[in-house]
Amino acid sequence: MKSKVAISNREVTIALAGNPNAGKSVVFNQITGGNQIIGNWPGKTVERTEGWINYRGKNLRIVDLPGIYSLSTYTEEELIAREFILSGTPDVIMNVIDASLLERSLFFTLQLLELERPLILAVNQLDMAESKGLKTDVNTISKLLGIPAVGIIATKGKGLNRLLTTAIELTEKREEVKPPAYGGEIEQSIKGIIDSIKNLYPEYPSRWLAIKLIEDDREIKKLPFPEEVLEKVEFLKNELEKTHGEPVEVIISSERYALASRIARSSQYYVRTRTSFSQGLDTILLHPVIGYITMGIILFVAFGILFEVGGYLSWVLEGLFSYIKPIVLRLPFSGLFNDLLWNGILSGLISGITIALPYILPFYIFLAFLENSGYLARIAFLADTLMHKVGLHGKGAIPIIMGYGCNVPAVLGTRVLESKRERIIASFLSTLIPCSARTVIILGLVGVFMGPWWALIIYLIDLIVIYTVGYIMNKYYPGETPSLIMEVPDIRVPVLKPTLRQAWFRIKEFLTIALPYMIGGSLVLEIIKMAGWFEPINRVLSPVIVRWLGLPAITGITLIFGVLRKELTLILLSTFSNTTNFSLILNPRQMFIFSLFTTLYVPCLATIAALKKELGNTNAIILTLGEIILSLGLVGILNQILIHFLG
Amino acid sequence: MIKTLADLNSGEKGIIVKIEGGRGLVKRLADLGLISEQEVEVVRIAPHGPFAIKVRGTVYALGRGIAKKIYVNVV
Repeated sequence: MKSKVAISNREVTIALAGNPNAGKSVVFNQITGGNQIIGNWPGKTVERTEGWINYRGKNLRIVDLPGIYSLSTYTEEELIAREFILSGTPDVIMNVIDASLLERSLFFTLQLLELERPLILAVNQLDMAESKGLKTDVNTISKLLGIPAVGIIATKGKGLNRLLTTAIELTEKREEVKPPAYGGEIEQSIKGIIDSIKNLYPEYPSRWLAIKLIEDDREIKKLPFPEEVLEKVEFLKNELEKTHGEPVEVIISSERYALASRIARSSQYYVRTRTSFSQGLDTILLHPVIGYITMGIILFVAFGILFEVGGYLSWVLEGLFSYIKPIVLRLPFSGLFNDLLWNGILSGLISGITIALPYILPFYIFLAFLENSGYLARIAFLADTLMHKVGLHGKGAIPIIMGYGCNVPAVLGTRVLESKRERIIASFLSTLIPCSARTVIILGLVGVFMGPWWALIIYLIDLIVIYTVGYIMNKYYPGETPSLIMEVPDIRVPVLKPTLRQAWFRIKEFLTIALPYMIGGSLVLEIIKMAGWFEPINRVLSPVIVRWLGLPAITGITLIFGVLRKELTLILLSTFSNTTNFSLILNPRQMFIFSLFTTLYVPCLATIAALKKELGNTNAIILTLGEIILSLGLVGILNQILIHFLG
Repeated sequence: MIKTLADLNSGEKGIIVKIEGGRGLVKRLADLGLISEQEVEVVRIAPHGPFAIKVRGTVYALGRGIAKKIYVNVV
């Protein structure tokens, strides 16, 4: 950063800040186009998007900060945003706000202003505000805040040129930023502290530091301060709490809201009021009866389509890969090496790709679509009551639903939950969900040879198991389920590009986590095969497989392979027995038990890798072992019962 | 009349009088605009479940447990 190049040629860093759903990512995509990278903030699981653009001879670096409501430190996202702004890296902060939610947006803007960094306001979604009957005067907002403000409609690309030009001008002017002034008593308290802390931490604006001390900010409180400063803060805080009768951090928030509300009232007014499209739609989507039916239909139809599309695409891909096989096998190395290369490394790679592209990518696109349209929040709202029974709140439904596509994104998706307890419960439950690979087995075996009703029974048993496990975990896992606090944004048509980009980022994450394990696993299995250990393994496993689960001995080795990729159990079963007519090798009871067992017996390798990444080694091992024990116990007992009925 | 938010029916409005609960919760709600003297409208209630409320133009879903901690003066 501190290069000796003339300022005009230096790269200008713009940080995009704003509330969730304010349209930040749309602004970001419109500005940067394709030139961007998505990753994580160092050491965090929070997504970080960065892009570059040469705009009128200027090199701009745009950093998209996490969407947050406040700059306190209650979430990781808030802390990341705050630290990045205070680090001095961004030359200008671009605050994207939703014009239709002016008051709440300005509450956040005021906090940015307190940081005394160059700030520009992008008043977005003017069209949405207008459709709600709101007329917005951007100039007045700018005047009252004392910072430049530009009205934009990001989805249509309107106003973005002016926004960028104004931002660049701002970096050249280097004007002092005036923090907002609050009510009399608070101002007095702030002034009382500023003088005594002025030179203590030059990296922070002293007025901001004073406010944070009064607010009892968790991070700032960790810094050492002289005893007399702390005493003074304590005294002033008590005074404020006595006069207002509320905790001091709430008093300050109220001050900010009072100011935000004043600015909003003087710069925006209703031309007319009318029920918005989204509100109308919500009478159906959030209806206590119809809402659930609609949700069921949407998810069922969507998963049906995704499953069909996935099956077709993976068939096409496998066809393509089968052309490569003879080429690899004819390579001028020894046969042993070629076998290892093809059956070991390459088939692991191909496994990963033929799962990721046909099944998971469309699934991620669907998910990003649900998320960006606002429907995901409605699912969380509807599911809240049920999810509380298993120790989660409504947002816990999201990873569970994702699990039906693939357990890996489900486990990664538990990040939306606040506490470790919730993340562990949700991860365990989502690894018990029949993903698309397991659906292939259930439908291909039980569905085809026993009928769809039997397949449905497996899904029902699975749901009962999940509910019971969740219920027990909730009861005995120490801690409480936090209540739901979540914005329900207006329903809108998602903008395609950011939605696709989000899906693409997630699929890359899936591949980096899962591929090494799939390749390693398939290499190990190839070695086992070469060493001729199939028979011995089947023999060792037979007490469990044959006696307890009542399955043919040959299924033992297929279950070992299934850890790599669940549908391999069925594929290998047909390879080993030289038939696709499974009724020749399995009786109905065995089909039922085999399908249920493969659904529950262990998370696949990629899922274990995801568990390890999200929850650490110990938890990953405990959950994996827990699942093995649970499935052996449960399915074994069920088998002993079924023997009497199905023979 | 003072009631908790959880006692309101959908469509009813109230003005916040007091929010009980730990400092963390109270501050989080304050950040979303739920502070004393603020008007709140119950938009929708899920069966036995969360409340969808409207504050300053935004709809939030709040768990029933939280709704019980928010005292309002019914409008």
